[in-house]
Amino acid sequence: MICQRCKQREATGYMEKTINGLKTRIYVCPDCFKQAQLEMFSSFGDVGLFSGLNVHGGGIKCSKCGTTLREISDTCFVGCQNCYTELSEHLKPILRNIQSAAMHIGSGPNSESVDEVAELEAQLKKAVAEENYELALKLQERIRQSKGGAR
Amino acid sequence: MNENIILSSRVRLARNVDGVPFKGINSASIATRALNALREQGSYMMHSINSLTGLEQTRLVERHLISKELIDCQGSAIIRDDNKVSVMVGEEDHIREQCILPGLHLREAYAELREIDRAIGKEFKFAFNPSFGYLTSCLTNIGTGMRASVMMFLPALALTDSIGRCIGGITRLNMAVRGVYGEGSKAEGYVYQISNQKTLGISENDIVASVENVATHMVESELKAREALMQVDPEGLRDKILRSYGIICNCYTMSKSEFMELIAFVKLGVYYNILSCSDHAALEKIITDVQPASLCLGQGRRLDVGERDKVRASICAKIQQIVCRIGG
Ligand SMILES: [Zn+2]
Ligand SMILES: [Zn+2]
Repeated sequence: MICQRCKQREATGYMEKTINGLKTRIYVCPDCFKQAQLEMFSSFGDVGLFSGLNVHGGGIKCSKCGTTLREISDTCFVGCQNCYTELSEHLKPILRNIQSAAMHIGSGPNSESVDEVAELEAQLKKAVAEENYELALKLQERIRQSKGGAR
Repeated sequence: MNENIILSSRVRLARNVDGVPFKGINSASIATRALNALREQGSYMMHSINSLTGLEQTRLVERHLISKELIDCQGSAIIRDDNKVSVMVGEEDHIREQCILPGLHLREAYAELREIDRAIGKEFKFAFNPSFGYLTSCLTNIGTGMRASVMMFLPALALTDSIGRCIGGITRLNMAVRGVYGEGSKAEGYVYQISNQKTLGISENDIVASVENVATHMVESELKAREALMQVDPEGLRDKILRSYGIICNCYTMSKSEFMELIAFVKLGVYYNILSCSDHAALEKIITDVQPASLCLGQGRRLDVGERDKVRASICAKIQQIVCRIGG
């Protein structure tokens, strides 16, 4: 959705503001979030962090790239791949907040789960029904590979 | 009738090369390897952004093949000759693969993209971690790295002022909505993009299913709104449609925003059988052809706004060859 503040860039997170005693969510882009944070010091308070939570140990840094946990929480950007391994436990609450999850359940490189084979077979049936033989051949090959346990 | 509402489906996967910093990569060398990996997957062309003229760069954005950010990052793009598959290298993530198909075909787009991802994944070891999935530079893409989106034409929801309520509902389902054309909050041409926000803790197939679901609901709402629009003021609507058709085919200069408004009513006219269209794809193509950069490149040179508006009007005159009026 579009940022509710500048109405130009895409919103990637939200802030919580108390307006007339009502807690309201305002969806903002990273730029506006930064701006709002600056303003927060001068005007009315009660603006939560970008990821919607106060980060404990915000000063903890990634030893490889030096990015702090607070920076990650504010911008949603990590500095390097190592941030994910080194700060993993600290990132989980932030991820729970922005993704409402902290654990991957999708596919991985070269993985073809049992579920996916079933899905492939369904796609194959459909491709044959639609006489899309080119796709059907590709799918057949994939199913053969997966079942053969070549991976 | 979905084709009139769901314009296209797009699936994008974000990938990074293991052990390579997220920023400051040599995009040309990664792109060359990726291009090699795709050799057996079809006919692809590689373009480094800085070797293209400004107009050529913008035309790729207008055709939804690359993002504006790729231009800012001076990355590279690999584009399949049918313009359905593109791979951006050196944007926010090292590699972003996407497949875009007309109509509601998210499943097919994902199936096709998996082949592309598999081929590229043979060339590179992707940054992946069993608990966080595919590692991306932004936490909003982590996990599957997948963004599935549909581009929808929703004039009736906008004209009946129901779009705000719909967007509110969609946002609560963890989906993002934005206007595709134009700046600011107004969606020019009533074209919206709906995409998943959540990428972690959900499987690729579930993301596709959830976006498909929301899109289907939106189609139903739009159809209801179209019915309501016709019931409220049938004569006013018919007049507005025919007037738009008249103007779009018969003027000397036309701004982009005027065009986007008129073409929306022409398309509505086709839906209501007030107008008939002999070639829907050609009509959609005109919409991309009259966007500023595409329009200039069609003429082979940079044009100022005034010249563009005249050329746009002359292109639009051709609409009468594919769209005509039915009955009274
Ligand atoms: Zn903003
Ligand atoms: Zn780091």
